[in-house]
Amino acid sequence: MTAPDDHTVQLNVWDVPSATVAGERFRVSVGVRCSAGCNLSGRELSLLDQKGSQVGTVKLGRDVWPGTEALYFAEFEAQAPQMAGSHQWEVKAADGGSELPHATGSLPLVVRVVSPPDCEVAIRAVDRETQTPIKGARVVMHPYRAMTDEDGIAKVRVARGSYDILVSGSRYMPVSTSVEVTADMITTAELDVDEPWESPEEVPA
Amino acid sequence: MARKRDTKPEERKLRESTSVSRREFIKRGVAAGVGTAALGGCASNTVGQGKDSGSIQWDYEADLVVIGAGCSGLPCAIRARDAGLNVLVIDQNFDVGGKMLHSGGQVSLGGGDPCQLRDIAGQADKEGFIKIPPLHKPQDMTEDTDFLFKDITDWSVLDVGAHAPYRYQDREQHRAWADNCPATRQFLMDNYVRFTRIQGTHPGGGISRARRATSFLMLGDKTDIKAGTVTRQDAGIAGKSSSHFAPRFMASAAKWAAPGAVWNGAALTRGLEFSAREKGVRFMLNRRMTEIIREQPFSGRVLGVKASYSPRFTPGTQTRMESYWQNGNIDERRDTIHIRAKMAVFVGSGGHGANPQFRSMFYPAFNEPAFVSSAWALLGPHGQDASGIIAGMRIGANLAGMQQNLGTTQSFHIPPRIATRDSYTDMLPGHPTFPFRRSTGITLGTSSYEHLIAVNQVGSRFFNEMDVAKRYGTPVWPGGPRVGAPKPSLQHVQCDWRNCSPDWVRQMYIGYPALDAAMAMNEGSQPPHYYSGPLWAIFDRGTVERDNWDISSPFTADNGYFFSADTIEELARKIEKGHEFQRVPLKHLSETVRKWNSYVDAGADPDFGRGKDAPMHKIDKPPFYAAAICPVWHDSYGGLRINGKSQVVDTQGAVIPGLYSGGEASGGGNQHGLGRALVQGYIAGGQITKERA
Repeated sequence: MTAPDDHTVQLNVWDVPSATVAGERFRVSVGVRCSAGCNLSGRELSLLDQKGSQVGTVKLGRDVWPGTEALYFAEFEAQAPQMAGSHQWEVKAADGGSELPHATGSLPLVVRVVSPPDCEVAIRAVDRETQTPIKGARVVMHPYRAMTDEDGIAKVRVARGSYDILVSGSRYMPVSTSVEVTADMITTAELDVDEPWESPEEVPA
Repeated sequence: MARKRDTKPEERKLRESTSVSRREFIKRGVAAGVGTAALGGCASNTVGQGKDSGSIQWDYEADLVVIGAGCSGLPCAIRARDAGLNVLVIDQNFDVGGKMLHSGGQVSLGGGDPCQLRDIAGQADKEGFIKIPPLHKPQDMTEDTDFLFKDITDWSVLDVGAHAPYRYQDREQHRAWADNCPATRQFLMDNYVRFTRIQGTHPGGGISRARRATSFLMLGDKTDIKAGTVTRQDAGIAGKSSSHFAPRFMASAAKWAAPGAVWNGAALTRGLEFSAREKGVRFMLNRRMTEIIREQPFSGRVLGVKASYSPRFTPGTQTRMESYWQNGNIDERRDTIHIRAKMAVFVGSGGHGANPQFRSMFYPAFNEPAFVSSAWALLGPHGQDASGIIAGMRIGANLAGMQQNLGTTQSFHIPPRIATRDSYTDMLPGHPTFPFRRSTGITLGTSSYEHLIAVNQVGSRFFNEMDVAKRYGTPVWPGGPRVGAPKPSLQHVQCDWRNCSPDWVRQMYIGYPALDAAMAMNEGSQPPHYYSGPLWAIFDRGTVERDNWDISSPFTADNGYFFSADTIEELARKIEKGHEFQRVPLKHLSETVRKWNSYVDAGADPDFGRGKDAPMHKIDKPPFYAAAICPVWHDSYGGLRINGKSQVVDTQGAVIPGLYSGGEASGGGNQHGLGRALVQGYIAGGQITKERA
């Protein structure tokens, strides 16, 4: 219940893995901000699973999240459910931990659980024209995600099945391709440069 | 909440400034007399002016009065001056150049122009700056003016949006344009403009031959137009600074000219300006034409103009901004003066892209005052305000080409630059007008839209973000399917029905109506104007890290066009409070972000089809950011109707004696960029001279 003079709180949850193997441990970050910018350090948060059972508690730290004015944060570590699929969990910020009354707040989060992967897909991202590797390209084979290394290679461990591989790199036009994964495989994604708007081909004039 | 604005803050500022100027004029007294004497003595003729004007006390007189010191006005002024005419150029801004100054300085002419001939012969420029060989084969540049005329009036050419960029060109006007291209190129080069190798063609310059050369200067120890050099400081430093000389960083032209060459519209503008001043053209800056005076309201000869004082002041000060060069300037500060044009008035005052009332004649959604014309900061509140067109209409001028704004991607569009109102250009600190915009903006490739969601004034998404800033290519050399032509380069057949057959259109059509969705009415659109409202790119720290966005100063600023917040809810509140045109709460923003994140979890976007073309990313890692997405009206097509001599004609097809126009103040052609305006100014300057003879 929110009393008239209570400060409200807003929760953010980030760094939730896009896919977690059943039973494996994972981490998520949680931030809480008071509507009046109060210091919320020490305030307790709880993590509830899809059944409403508390699977962890943590206290907000003393510092605010970098780049924010008053977002206090903490990190949970929890174990993924054993059953594959999307599970709706919840983070709750209980009242207390501050001299002023603060309304309780909560935020749902989706924990996507996948079966243990069968295959490894290696994606090599290269510049189409120069054939040089593209470091830091994003690779998505939903729900799996990865980023290419210095050699332009991302390795994604996935379950067998059909996937759309999406690859994008900074200042490159994204590409997509459909694959049927039945065994380990290697594929190359050739990306075209996303010509800057001021390219000599069409400069504003 | 304070009432949100329907007008621009600069307009208020101008009214304040005007009252100050009146006091200053009384105090200083003599300023006007200096300019008058310099023009050959105060003219006090009394002239009949029909029923409204009674008699006029002329404050100045000149053979030719040019309205607008831009890319049509300068060549007109120089050419007339070359023939010995007394020429006065007035401009509403504090500096010379108009929109040309922030342009790319790319000039597509052709018809066998001197740059084409030079490159065909494999020669360098006469100063020997150019060190690289020609970029095109001789046959790619070989043509005559007949061929050029046919190319720029080719009815069969379509772009990939199925618009016909050349079909509706005024024929007399473009015959004259083509015929004068070679001479205009030579004229420009004779007036301190250096051109690179021919390199492709600029939009609207035709599809069948390569015709574009870009103006450049060489980096040197001093900025010296005669020597063709500019200092690194004046050319600007990439990502850090521009200068009074060049409002935009002048990038390397090594690929088209030589190592050490730098290019853009400053090289073109400053060359022409230097030449004009050197030859004795006089400039009265800070002077906005408000009326063209004709013997009778709709008949008789044009006699001159009425013009008001329009100074601009550095924000937060009473310091008037001054032009880069001042020799030849007349510092006239009276509120209103009358200038007699003994021979002609040339209207080169630019287009209508900054006038919401005028431009909404073409696209009603662009009545939204939040969105400005390109060069908004550079040109100030009266830039691109249709004033020349309106003044012409008031004395009976006809209009032409009013449909040519539509379907031209250089006209209104969404530039891929966010966090600045002046989204067309990337001006950096250093130019006197930077404080008006305060942020350069974050320049994105269209691919970077992968990392944001775009929302309207109520916080709802409106289109697939990957297509928001896409613009399709226009039919220019070397042509081909990418720009809508079935056959590339020399294989293109002019005026061939196959270029626009239904089968071909079905194959090549690509449409990106994101702008139309962006400017559609929404829940926040209220009568009577139904403004679509501001647009916002919403992103997070994850975006900045993943795609290496630089959100520091000067790319962003605390100027109401960029916000950061700990939470999405706070972000919505900050936008509503801090953006001058955010008239309603972004009531859906939190739900939109929540829904978007659920789509990322699901791997599909049922609303707009994201997820098939590029990765999707959650917006969940604080802090959260909002950066303004600002559609811009760049090119203006449609304006005063002119004939092949750049004479303005009335609704009966009769020439209005003594009135000329060119560039974006005129209509009938939709060539992007500078080529059209430069040639029309050149034609007008010659024709006015002939009239004297």
